[in-house]
Amino acid sequence: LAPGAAPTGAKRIGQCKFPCIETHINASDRRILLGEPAFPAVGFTLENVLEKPPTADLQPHKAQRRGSRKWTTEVNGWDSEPIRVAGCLSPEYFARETEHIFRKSWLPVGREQELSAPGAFLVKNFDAPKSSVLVIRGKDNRLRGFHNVCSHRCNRISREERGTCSTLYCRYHGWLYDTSGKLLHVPDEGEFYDLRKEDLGLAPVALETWNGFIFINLDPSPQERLSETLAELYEGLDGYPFEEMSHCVAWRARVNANWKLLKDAFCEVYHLPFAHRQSAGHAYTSTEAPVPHALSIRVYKSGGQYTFGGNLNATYPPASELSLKIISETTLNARRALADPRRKPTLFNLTGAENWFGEVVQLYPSLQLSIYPTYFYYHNFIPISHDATMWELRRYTRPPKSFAERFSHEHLVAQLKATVLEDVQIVEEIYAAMNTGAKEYFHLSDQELLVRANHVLTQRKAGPYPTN
Amino acid sequence: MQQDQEAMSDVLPAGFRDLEKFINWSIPQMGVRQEQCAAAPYDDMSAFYDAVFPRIVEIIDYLDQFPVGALPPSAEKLANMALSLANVAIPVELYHTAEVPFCTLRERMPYLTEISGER
Repeated sequence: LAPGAAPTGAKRIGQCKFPCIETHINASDRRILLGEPAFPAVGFTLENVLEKPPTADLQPHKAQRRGSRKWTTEVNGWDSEPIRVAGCLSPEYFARETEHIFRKSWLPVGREQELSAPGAFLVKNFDAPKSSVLVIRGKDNRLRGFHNVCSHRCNRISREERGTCSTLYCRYHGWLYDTSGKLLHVPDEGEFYDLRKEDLGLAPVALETWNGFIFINLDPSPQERLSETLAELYEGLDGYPFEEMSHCVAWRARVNANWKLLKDAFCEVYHLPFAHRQSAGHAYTSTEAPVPHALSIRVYKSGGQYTFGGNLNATYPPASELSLKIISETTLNARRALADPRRKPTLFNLTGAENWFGEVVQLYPSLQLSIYPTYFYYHNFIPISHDATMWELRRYTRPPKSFAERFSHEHLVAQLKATVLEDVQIVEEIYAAMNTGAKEYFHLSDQELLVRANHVLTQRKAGPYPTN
Repeated sequence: MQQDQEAMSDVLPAGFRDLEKFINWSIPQMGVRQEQCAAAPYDDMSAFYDAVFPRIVEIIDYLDQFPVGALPPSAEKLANMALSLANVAIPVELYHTAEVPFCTLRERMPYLTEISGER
């Protein structure tokens, strides 16, 4: 189409206040086209995507054919051996992970904004190791973690997953605690022998925060502070406006797969043009790079990070095009702010790429963040058993300021949900297939270094994977 | 009183009354909307999309006259319909089928209303 031209047989149906958008409907196939007056209308046909066999348009470009492997061996000095699958299948190995990893690590339980008022609390239940942790903001405004267990006869204090209270009360015999966990009152106290109330507060659980995330540690004396665990990540994201992104959408699902496989699903860009062929893949690919590569991949003491770029000229189906146009100015400003040397988080866009899209940051073992200029989302992986994982996904952005932004938000949220369902569906299929015993190993490219990191860090803590 | 009646009825704002045949798509609450949209038959999704997407820019412009969170009842109905369209556009434009293909997980992935910003 010539610049500004409407498609043949198309009827212009409107121009909105976003000056760049014109909408056309094509009379012949009812396909709706959006375009900028000065540029060709964007026509997106699903058939383009669906009917080409996946390999035909994904022949490696000359520059990619040779490969550019460097992150695994050269940069990080790791070996490139395949990984044994048995580490994801064995209940005995999972018991080791429970003791050596989940009982000893900093685990995310939510965002500080959920507990903004004194007396606000949440309860996080874990299956491995079995625990129920109550996080509460005290009247002194301090966040504290406790085992959700009464000091009298071990009844669970709160049945609710969240709420607000002025005191904590055990419904069994009425023992009463204040918001700092101190035992305040025991009914009929005179019937007890030598009850030392000052020693019978709720049992504390270590708690620390980072960029608004609340972490707890089930180890009564954690081996290290959160800042030591996070190492360079602790300050490396400073400057990103986490606190402004207060508008949350959250889902939870029980996934039938080992926790590491679920985590592996969000660790590389290699799968994008294939697993997300229908939804999001084209935003990350171009003629020059039909199979995308990360801009950089780094492994940290307790996690890792990859920086990813995308195709800034990608075309999208009409509703996505509209949703992205609505927030285009906001996105542009946010990109500029994050590129400003005074604000740029030190670990963002290390290569200074023009087509920078965002950062994926892994905090081992159970938090993974995807950070974009105008929003971030995070996965929380909570193991239930060797073959099941509770997965929570939350997306945070600034509260919408107009209906247009609400529409855009609703659509981008629906898009995220569809995209992650594609991932998680594959994860359950992998786990079922892995359980057939057909394969002893899986193989990782240099682009899948953070998948490798999951398994390497696990084996460093819980010992080598079993051999069968 | 008139507002109350309007809130109880299926009246869309003047200029959009022709869309009242899609009033079942006016679903309050994001979590409920996600569920109900995803559970709809594909032909219904596609008919809704074909009829309403060409009007979406007009709808957005109309609703943006009002401050966020202060929509009159008939505008609220229209807003909830437009937000359903934002959901339905995913299967219609991307998959040409009601669900993410082969996906068995959707029904097991509830929206957590208590921590989400949109009730």
